[in-house]
Amino acid sequence: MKHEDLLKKLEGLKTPEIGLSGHRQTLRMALLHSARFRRRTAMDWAKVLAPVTAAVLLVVSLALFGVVGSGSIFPSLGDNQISQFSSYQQLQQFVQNNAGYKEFYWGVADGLVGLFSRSPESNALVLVPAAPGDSGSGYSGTNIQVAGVDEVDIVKTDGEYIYLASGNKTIIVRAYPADEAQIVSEIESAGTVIGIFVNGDRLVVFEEESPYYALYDVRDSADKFYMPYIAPKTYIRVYDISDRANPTLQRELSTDGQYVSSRMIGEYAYVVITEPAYQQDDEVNLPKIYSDGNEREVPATDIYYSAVADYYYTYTTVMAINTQDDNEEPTSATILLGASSNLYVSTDNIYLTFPVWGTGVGDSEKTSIHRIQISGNNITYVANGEVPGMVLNQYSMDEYDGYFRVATTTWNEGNRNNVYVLNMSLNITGSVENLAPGERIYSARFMGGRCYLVTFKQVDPLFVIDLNDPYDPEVLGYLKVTGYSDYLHPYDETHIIGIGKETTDAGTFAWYQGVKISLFDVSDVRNPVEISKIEIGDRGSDSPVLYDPKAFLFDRSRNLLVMPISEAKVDVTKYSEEELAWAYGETIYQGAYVFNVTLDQGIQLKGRITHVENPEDLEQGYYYYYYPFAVERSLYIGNVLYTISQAKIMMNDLGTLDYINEVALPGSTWAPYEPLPVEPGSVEPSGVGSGTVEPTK
Amino acid sequence: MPADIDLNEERELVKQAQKAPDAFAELYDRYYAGIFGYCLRRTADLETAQDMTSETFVKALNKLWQFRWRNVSFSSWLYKIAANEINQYFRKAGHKKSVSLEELQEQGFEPISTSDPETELIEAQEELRQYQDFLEIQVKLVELPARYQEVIALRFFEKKQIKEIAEILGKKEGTVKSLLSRAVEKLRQSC
Repeated sequence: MKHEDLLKKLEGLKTPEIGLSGHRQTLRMALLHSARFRRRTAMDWAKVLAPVTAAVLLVVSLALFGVVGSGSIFPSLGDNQISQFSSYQQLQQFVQNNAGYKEFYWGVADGLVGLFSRSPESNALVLVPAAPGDSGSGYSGTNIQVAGVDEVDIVKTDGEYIYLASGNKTIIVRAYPADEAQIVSEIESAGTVIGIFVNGDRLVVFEEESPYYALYDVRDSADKFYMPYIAPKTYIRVYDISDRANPTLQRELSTDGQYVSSRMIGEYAYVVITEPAYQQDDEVNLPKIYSDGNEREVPATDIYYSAVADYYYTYTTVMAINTQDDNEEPTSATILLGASSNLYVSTDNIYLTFPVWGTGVGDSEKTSIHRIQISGNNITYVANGEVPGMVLNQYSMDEYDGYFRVATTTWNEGNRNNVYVLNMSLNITGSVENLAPGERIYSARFMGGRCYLVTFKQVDPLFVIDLNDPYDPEVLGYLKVTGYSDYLHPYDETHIIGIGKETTDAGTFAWYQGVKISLFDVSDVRNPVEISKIEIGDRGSDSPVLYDPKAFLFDRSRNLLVMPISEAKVDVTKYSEEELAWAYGETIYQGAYVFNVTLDQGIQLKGRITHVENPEDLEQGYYYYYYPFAVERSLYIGNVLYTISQAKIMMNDLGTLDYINEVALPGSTWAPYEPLPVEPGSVEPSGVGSGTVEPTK
Repeated sequence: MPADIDLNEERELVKQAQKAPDAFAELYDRYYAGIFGYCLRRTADLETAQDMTSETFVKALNKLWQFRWRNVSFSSWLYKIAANEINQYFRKAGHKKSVSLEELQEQGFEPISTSDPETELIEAQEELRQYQDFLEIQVKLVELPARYQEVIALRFFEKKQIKEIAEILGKKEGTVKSLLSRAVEKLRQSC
């Protein structure tokens, strides 16, 4: 064949255009649920899910209603009665009759993006007061929401040691005195360490094995309908660390299902795990708990349910583990619910919430709330209720003086924002509704009898709401400033710190700009005032605090505020005036920014500390999300400021910020990587992935 | 492949995709068909194409934060990863089943090839068999060195412009043209 003929043949060649929708769907699911998104996913759970659910839910609700109308064994869905199943058969029938998933799971796989996703607060390896520690004790604790209720995190300290969750390792570092700092032990795990608690001489490690996929036939096999299902496993291990150099495993618990969140109150660690209830060959699975090698299936008759309509069901199990007494068997309670999306824990109650989407035209979405009473190892499901709208995160909820308060956004028919007060039976006693139409809640904070609420679309109204009368809450005042806050932190009784972004108005919306820290004076509740603000960087600047308040360190007695920031600068010569509003800057710095905060002087940048060793990394764009030299947390012990990245712990003087010492962590074996070979370049194997570029042969 | 995508929009999407699964999902939806098609036409084997495609997107996701906007589109970057995967696959002796299944499992993904709806695969295999002209060329093509395979596949199977091929291969347009010409000649000799 001649050269020209072959060319012609090649040019006219009919090539196969074949697709495999099964592979396409399954790979999509696998990617979206991969560990890659673990710590950063679903900052806005409702938003991610909204477009999908809108399409899906009509089908589902029709299916549900069809079933309910035609002889379900349950008189009505939606009443608040709490019951336990009388038999396995009853549970089986409940799931079969009421779950709508059989009809749509596979076809609209997008729906699953939200179904199993963790709550925003727990996704990020997640205050008024700080946890154990706090000012006075000489070291800082995790930034928690409720005094006395510790929250799991990737970094903990007891004032002498620092404990770190890093990939599949838990690392114990002797941190104080700083000039003698060193790693004393490492515990390796099979799965990924989600977070830890330290309680005296006990270390509690929460670990999750990467989810994998199984396919369950949820219909008759003849129909060839498959349901992709993620089967993660959660491990809870308790170590005795009386010898920090030799931690010894005391007990090991595990369950099938997804870790949602955990808290520690006194000597008890409480963990919430969810697992979908699914049907296979007419069998419905039951949750299992493995304790030191013994398997226990939760009997159907132990499972609570309230007849809340939903399109799929999950078992939500709350477990209580005595961290100090290894002989005390863990206790648990399991409820058949929709998928929990948020969780708030006071010293006496766990509140679980999940969204209930509207079932008809004009019927808005609601949040179903469940109160589980906890006292030592007693766990009792006591009440449930419902409020209109969706909950943003744990900070949108609070319990105070025998009342539960919650701030929600209703998405349908233009956003509206509301605050509800409920009694302990979870009946609404009072409310403030329809705040800031068209906007949504960016952050909320309850402080005693008050609620502070930031909504945003173009400017940031900070609302001050009085909740002292649970039957008649009222808006006291509000302040409109540019920018918004993603996180509100109490400074004192009459001042609040807001962490968010500056914005510039663009007519019908606003462009985000640099990271902004504000100090608000709310002593005159009818006229809140922004008494100080500081903006770091241009558009493209970011901080983990915006998604995960645990990255925030504040101590009023020391006037100290520390947070990791990646600062971006826009090269103004590169853009036209019009482009400047939306131009992204290049990252020029990543590190812990240390501020001095006082009521007199406001917020002042004191200095910054970076772990970046090669500034070129930033220029190359390596900094972005999984860069090991990015500072993630900070804490202090005595007069030493500790900043922590995957690569190292750095120690600086808290007063002068002078460098003292550093400890390299196992995460530091990282090499820059060249994804795109430069001319002449080659695409011979391994150019992508291994960091090497082979020359052209 | 999808229609022309506004590069600014795509740039924003890639940035978002580093932290937001829904943005990554959008990129995936845009490029899955193109990448799967490319893998299929390079290997003429559906199961291998599945593996290569999975591997490409897993790598892309894992390396996304390292992706830099150097006047190279995201799509070209994906093709480049896919090309590397395929070359690596061919380089393994006897074209044995790639290691990608294990690699995937190590990373915590459980591929579903064993439990995939089998009828779909069988039907697709049937369909593939009907492209006799293509299969004849393809079988000769895989005997050539990887650099010739790539350039021919991109030009004649994927119908890419020279400019885009240059972008994917990281070579100058002139280099691509002469490489292409040599590749066609090599293929002619073996036909």
